[in-house]
Amino acid sequence: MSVYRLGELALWVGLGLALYGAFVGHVGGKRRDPRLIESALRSVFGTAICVAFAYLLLTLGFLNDEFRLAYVADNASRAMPPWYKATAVWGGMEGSMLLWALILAGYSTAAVWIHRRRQPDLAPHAAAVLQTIMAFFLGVMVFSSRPFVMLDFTPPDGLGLNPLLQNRWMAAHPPSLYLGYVGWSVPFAFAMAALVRGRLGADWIVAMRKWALVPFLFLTIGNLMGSHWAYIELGWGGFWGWDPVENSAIMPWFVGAAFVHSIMIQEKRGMLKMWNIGLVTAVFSLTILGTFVTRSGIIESVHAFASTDIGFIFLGFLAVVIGSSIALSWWRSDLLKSENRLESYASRESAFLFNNLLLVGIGFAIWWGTFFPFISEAVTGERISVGPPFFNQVNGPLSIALLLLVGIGPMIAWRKASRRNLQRNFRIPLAVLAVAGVAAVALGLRQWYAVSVVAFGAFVVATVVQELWRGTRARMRSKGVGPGPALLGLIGRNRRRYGGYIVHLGVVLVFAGVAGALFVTERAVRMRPGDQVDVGPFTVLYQGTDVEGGPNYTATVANLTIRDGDGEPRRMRPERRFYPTAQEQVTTEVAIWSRPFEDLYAVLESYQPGSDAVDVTLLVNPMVLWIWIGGGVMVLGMLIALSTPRPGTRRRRATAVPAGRHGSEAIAGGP
Amino acid sequence: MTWYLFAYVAFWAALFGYLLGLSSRQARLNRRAAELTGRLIARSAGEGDA
Repeated sequence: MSVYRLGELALWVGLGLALYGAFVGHVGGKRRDPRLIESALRSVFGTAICVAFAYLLLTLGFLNDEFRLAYVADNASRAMPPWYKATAVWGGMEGSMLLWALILAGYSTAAVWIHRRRQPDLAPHAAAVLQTIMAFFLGVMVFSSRPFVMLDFTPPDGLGLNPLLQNRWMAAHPPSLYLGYVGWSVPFAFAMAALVRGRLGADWIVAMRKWALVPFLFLTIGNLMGSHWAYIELGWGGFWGWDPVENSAIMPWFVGAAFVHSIMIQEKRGMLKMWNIGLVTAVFSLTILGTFVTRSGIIESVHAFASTDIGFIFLGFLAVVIGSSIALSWWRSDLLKSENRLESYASRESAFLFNNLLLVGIGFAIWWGTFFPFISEAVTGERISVGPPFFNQVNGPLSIALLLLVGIGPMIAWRKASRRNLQRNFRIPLAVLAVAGVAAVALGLRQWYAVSVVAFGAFVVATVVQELWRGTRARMRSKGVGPGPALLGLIGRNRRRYGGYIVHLGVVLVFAGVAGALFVTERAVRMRPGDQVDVGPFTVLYQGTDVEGGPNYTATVANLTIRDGDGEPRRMRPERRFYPTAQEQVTTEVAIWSRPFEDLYAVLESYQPGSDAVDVTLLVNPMVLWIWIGGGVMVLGMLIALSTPRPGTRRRRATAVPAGRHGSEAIAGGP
Repeated sequence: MTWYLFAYVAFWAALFGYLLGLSSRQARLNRRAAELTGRLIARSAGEGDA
């Protein structure tokens, strides 16, 4: 018997344990039976071991060229470098499901381990919900998308991984995105547990703050990586094409951003309880929908690599998720009433409410555009697709309004802002907004979006700088230190708040990069050796082609020399690669000269062997670099916000409470 | 009705109306594009016959 059959066995055992934990968690939690609860929690660890074993075995199958495994034969070939063999595990449907399960196992184990003492009431029910989700994915792998199916013969070689996926960004993008998708299972599970137990105060939401921030961080990284991959690999010159799969990854980001903000309202003011349950359900559902869209191939897309027939299984699960959440919320509606009311439209609560509406509105608009072919077909019988202009037209005004609120939200007072508060916090930023707007128009900007990004972006930067300056100045006076240590001390003392401000600065930079797309210059030319063309500030000279070999491909490389004024010439080498084993696919490898204010982007479209002529597309993309820098700043801000110590730990250290489970629980505010 | 409930309903009504309007416009554009493409194909077929 092949050792790989143990992989299937591990999935079956894992499924059994998951179903057991799903049942026993609820029963044990309801009866408050410590033995049943402990058993349910241990089932989570047992399932994790089974899934990790199966994943390891499949990875070994890829590394050892075990082509009797149908999945390996479909997604790998001998010539692939080992690194891509290991990443090919998630190149198709079956392996993606296994990666989902592996990440869920990791999150579930960590969440159950950490919260079994801190939230003993909620942990067994949350474990049961997590095990239900796990049972769904293991069920898919056991009955439908089986990763360990053995062929009756051993093929001499495999088909190879889609060459578009043989890119380091694409290798890292799916795990990051899945860490973002799957992580939302934990806040969803604890929300459901809170509904079951009727513990709907700030407790569960405070406990879940970091569990929401972690997947939000990974969704941010995953979307950035995917966007960067599209920019450098797909060869059309853009970073976001409103492709259904891209949309599926960005929808949970927007709704997740709404949740990350609205938890503060429930935490501080006991409001938006029902809204928060709705948001966390929506984010989790969107992650399931995203996996379904990516892997079902229901919508034509460059990303729908794996077309399978499991769409209805996913939709059924989605219906269960949404139905359970609605039913439980209905049952607990009395406990979900707000403890306070909005007192004024000029308040932080109000700003956050509008920020939530805009974020969810953007998510909804993207959902509408993505699924409009289905909506229109269901209503009119005609399948109508909407393209990038639809998304740009809808999201343009919404995102600009959001940018304005990014500046207003953190500055305005809770409950009701006084005239003095408004004047003190907004006088300078509003002046900066006006000056930046006038300067943008005076410098020749005419597009309303670009002018708004400059004006509102400057407003946000001014609010953040003003806050940092005020805090730093106060700290310099009180501590008698210089501006550097004072600033670092300020951020270190309130990482949640200032981490958020840094994220907002990153958002402004991303907006600036996105606005640059309005000013792209493009030239498509046929060039013979010695030809020279101008594009934007650059002069491009073509000097013939080379043919080069890679580990599993052959590349035709165009040699371009670029000059910008009197500066040093620079070489760029766009390629066309031919992969003989991967269904004889041809890919383009673009060449990019990235500079602070513009990228020169060269695509080798085709090559005429007889004359050595090439068809080249040259683009000057302004400000693209700032998208990646802004993304990095956002990630940094999130890491700072995540590094906030658990409430009470600072005090505990300071007052030297004796170490011990009961002491720490009491101070940490455990139930 | 509180002001924020009104704002909430108004926001969704406006967004929904905007989305419906935009997507209907897109549908009209698609139909028009299909019609023009059909005419072009018919014309080029006619020229080929001639």
